[in-house]
Amino acid sequence: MRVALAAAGVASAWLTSAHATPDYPAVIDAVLGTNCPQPLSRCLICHVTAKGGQGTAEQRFAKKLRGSPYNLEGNEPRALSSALEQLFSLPVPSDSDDDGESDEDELLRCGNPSGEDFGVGPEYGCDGAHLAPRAEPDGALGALALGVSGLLVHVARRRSARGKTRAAPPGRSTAR
Amino acid sequence: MRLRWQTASGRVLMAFDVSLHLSKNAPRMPRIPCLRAACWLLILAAVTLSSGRAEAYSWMIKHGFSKCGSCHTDPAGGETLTRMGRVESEHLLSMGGTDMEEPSKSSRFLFGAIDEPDDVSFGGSYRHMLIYSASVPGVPSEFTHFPMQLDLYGSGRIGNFVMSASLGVAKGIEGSANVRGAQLNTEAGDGFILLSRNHYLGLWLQDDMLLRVGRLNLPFGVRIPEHVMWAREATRTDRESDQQHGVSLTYTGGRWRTDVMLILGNFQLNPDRFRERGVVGTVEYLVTPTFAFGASTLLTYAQEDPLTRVEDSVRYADGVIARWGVSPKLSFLAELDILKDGGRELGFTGFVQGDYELFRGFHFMLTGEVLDQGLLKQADVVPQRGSGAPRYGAWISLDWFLMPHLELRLDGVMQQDDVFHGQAQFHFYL
Repeated sequence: MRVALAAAGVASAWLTSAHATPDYPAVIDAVLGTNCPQPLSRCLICHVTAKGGQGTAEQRFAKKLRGSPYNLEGNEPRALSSALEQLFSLPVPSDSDDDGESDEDELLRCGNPSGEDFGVGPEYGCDGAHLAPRAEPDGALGALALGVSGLLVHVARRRSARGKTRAAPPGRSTAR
Repeated sequence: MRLRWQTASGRVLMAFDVSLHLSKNAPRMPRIPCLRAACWLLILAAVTLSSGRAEAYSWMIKHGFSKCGSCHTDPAGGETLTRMGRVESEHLLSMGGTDMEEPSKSSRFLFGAIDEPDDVSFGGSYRHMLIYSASVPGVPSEFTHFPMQLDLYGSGRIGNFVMSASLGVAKGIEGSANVRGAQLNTEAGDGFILLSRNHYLGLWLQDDMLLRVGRLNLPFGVRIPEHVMWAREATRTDRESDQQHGVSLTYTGGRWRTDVMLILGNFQLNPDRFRERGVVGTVEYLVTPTFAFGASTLLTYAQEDPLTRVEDSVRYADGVIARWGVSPKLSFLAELDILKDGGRELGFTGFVQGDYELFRGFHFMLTGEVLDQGLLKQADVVPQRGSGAPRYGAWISLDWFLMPHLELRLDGVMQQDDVFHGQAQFHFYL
């Protein structure tokens, strides 16, 4: 069991060293102090596909940031952060999709400055399938389980000892 | 970790306990011992570094293996190896295989530690990826690494019936469009997810014809392990997580290899309006024992595209494929597809890959690829590379199969309008 737990720990630590790709929706959240859901759908603020990638940043908001004076290139979260701060400090608020609401206001309410808002996006995973939340350790229950286990081991050992005594009484060999 | 299916009212329909802890408040649930065993095996795989997926290496045609079902339990290739596949992985795939006199036990599942029952095959895969991204002015270079795959899979046959499934784990993938299509539990965030890329039930109608129902690889194009190659990404037909649920009929008789699938949608994606439905298929004809030529087609409809959010999205792709084993050392794979995505004009993609095996198990590969996803149907859009104009890319690769169960691969990926990416991949398979 200890080996298994150690194995699980190693596997867990190993898997935590996962992805470190730039997460632009998180940068937008950090700049504006928001915590918007649907990070995949929010890729569409700039990209034409949630898979992102080079050559897909064709949405209006992205075009504005790629143009002068921001000249934003891909793959650089720090540059995005400073470009956003620069954009939001303009005397006349930027409105990339010309819908009458500024880009900053739309992003603050988790909307889409490149066009219509996203609405409810796709959810991944089988409908209704959840991982059960990790339960808090119960000390009393653990102590009770330990006690019962100890008692069972003690009883089993006594029975085993009695059985051996009956099967081979002293002074009586079964060897021929 | 506990996976639970429940109704909106909270009634538990089914649950799998795959955890190492006890939840005192959890409702009583039926448990499936096999899944628990699978989980333990998964942990074992992670700790011993001994997992991995034997791939559908389409270039095996140079050795006269044109039909994938010779080495894989899936007649369309990929995942679980057959007994013969185990032998050939040592003889034809791995370094030193030319000197093999008889198959060694270590090439078998778990290095031969366990004898699989007759008609049952197991496998597993661990891939770790290291990526170097070159710098550009103002943007420093970057080095990242992550576990790309940690899966177990198996296949069993009872009479004419066959069943197969894969189970894997991933972590911290909420912002990624990869992996998530195969997700089983609905939570993502920074936590673990369980995933199943494939699972199906099948019936062998005759020796060379298999009917299957389940989540299957889409039979389109050349089945290659490079899931980020444009031909696989743009057509959404990679084996990473682009599988869909549906019904497929595979025929591998004579010189023909055909696979046609009715796509019912990815039921690991909700709600229903994001599911694509349609047909996909490939037909391939073996002109000579080492040259195959074929065609693929795909047509799908979704009320709303899950990636682009385009409504009433009709997507299609049609293409031709070729596999040519010039000699036992040299082979070529090629594919050219026309594309039509919802919200875009007509586009195209394709690749040509040359593979020269310098010595047994050590491959030098050159790949050229092209992508024009099609011009966006928007008022103020001008053509640019990859969107209304061709974009080109090249891969230089070294692929080294040191021994059965182990593959090391280096790729240099150069694509227009992107920085140079160096990739190193460490692949163990059970």
